Amino acid sequence: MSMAITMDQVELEAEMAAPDVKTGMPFSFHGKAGEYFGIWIVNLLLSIITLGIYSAWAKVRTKRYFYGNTTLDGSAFDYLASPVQILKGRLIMVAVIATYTIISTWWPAAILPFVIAFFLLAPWAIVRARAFNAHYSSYRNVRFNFAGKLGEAYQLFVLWPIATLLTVGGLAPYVACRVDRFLVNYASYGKAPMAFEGETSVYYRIYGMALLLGWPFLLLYGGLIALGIYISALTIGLDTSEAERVSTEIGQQVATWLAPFVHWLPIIILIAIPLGIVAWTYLTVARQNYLFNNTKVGPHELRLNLSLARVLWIRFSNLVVIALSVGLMIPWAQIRMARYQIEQMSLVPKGDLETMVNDQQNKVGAYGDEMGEGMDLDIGLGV
Amino acid sequence: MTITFSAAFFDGTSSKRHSVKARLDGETLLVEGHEFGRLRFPLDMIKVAPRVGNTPRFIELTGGARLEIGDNDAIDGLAPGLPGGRFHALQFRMESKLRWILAMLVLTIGLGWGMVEYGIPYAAKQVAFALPHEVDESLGSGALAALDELVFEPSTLNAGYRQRLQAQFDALVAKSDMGADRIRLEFRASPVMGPNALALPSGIVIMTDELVHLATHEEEVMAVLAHEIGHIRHRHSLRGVLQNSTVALGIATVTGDLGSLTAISAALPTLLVELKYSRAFELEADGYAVDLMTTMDIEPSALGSILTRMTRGRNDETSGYFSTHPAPAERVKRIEEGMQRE
Repeated sequence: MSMAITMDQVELEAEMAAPDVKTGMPFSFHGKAGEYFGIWIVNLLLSIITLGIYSAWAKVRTKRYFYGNTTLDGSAFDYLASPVQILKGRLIMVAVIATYTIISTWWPAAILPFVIAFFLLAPWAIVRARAFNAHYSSYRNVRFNFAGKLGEAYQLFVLWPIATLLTVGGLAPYVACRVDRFLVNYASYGKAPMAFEGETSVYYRIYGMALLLGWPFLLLYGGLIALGIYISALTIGLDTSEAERVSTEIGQQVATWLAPFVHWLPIIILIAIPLGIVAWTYLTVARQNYLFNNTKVGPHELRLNLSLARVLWIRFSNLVVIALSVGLMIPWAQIRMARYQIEQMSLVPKGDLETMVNDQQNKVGAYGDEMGEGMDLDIGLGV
Repeated sequence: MTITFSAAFFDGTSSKRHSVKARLDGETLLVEGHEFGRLRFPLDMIKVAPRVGNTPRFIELTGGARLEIGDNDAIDGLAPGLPGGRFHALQFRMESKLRWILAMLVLTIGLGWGMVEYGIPYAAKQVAFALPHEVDESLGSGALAALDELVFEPSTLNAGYRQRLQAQFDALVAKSDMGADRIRLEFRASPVMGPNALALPSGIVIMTDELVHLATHEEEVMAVLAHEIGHIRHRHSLRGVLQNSTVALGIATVTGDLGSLTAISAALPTLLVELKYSRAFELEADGYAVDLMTTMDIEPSALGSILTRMTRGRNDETSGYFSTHPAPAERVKRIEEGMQRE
């Protein structure tokens, strides 16, 4: 009973965040599953045969297929990065992983500094990846641009996540809002700045709603993580057999506590996991809707009208179809998801679309961007 | 050769779209629009983007200007003569012609199957045998202590009988091609597991009292122990770890760009391949046991008869694809085939 009410509220929330789309100019998507299948299978085979080298070409072709099939007002988007740039980034990444593997095998003591260095590099890589992707994306021969400040990136991707952990997630909505503002407000289309004045209170509302749905899952998941942390805290420094003894003991203790609920456990899990998926999907959908509906590109406004039920249905049916087709329907699933997401987007022009000015100074630093790209740390806006 | 097409021209300073007519005339591309008259671009100064599906084509002109063209076939007429044109034309043909796609599909499936069936097991075997024994041992240190907590109780066999079995086991190890210091036998009772034996990568073979009681004679016990020695000799634990992680990585790479939720669909194929590898290891250990027993003058059929009895009580004869061990009937058949070869 209470669940039905919660679901209604969720739908309401998703609706609320999406003003009338009809006033806008729609984005359209022209990709076809059959056509994309050919690109996908060639990408797959050549990437395997060349031991991954072709994957750089594959990435560019895939991106160009999806960008080129996305049109607004009769013009298509274009992805301009060259495969060789992507390849460099991937090679650097492979070198980093290989170094890590070697170090962790022969000098386990050196793992910690390595991991710390990696985390210290991550904010820089996120900014670089975003700058790279923006710089090589264009519409009507005007490029996008991202000039996020490194200092702010360190606050957002190192300091604030630590604070979020310390507050057991209490700061998560606030940080999410700041991240979205950072990603949009430092972006521009040509010389036209993008702007997003997200309000923290809306993020708290969205996260609160997701929590209402997802708390059983969170409890289950959080319980497991807490147990893991507890065990590793107790066993740290012990030798292996002693550590196994302690963890077995704790496991038995937990089993005794749970014993009275043992018949309920499968039911709890069966309810908690789907609810968790719904909550997570709601969170991303509501956040994206809010983000797009409050973002301006120069004077023009964006609109996005994703429905939670549709997104859930597409994801679920995609999953089933992919599993039943042993993966051969992956291209179909990708096209289907992209079509829905893109066609729910529109732009409300305030004035002439033809007067956006390219930023001739728009340059990305010569090195670093490839590495960011190779780390695949691009945290996209979803489309 | 003359090719004409209509296009959208963007000068690169603003988003303004100019509708133009373009004409390729010998070595020059002429772009004509009523706002700016006629522009000339020498063919070797322009860059045509390779074709991807039926997406609009972009031509990079000099001075940062670009053309966007919907008519791909017109552009294909002029693209092959340009640098890189042949490679790009081949790329597009592979992606769009049905027989290429079918060939690619068959090749991909064949390659995937070949990797799973032969490539990964072969590579894992080479790597495993190139690594020192300490690697295997590190995999299972502490496992016995954990098992003792969970499923095992002290053995209740009398000491004299244990010594007899231990002596026979030692003889078995002596005939195997492994050092006696790498392998050790442990006696346990386990009402939970019933008649069973298992090998830990650290070189410990554990046998339950229930197995000893089930055996009609000691040769059957030795047959099972020879099978477990086979697991250690062929380093199945290490190979399993190597194979399974490679498969999981490979499947995750193929389906990886799909987001977290869809990644669940990768779990089933990964599991099926892992179970398949597990069954292959069982057959390999059976083969090893048959060989070892033959050198010891033990009748290898003892393995088949005890295996059949060990599995009789269990009703887990589910579909072969979902079990860790091959069906007992198949194992017995293989054992008999192995005996005939001797």
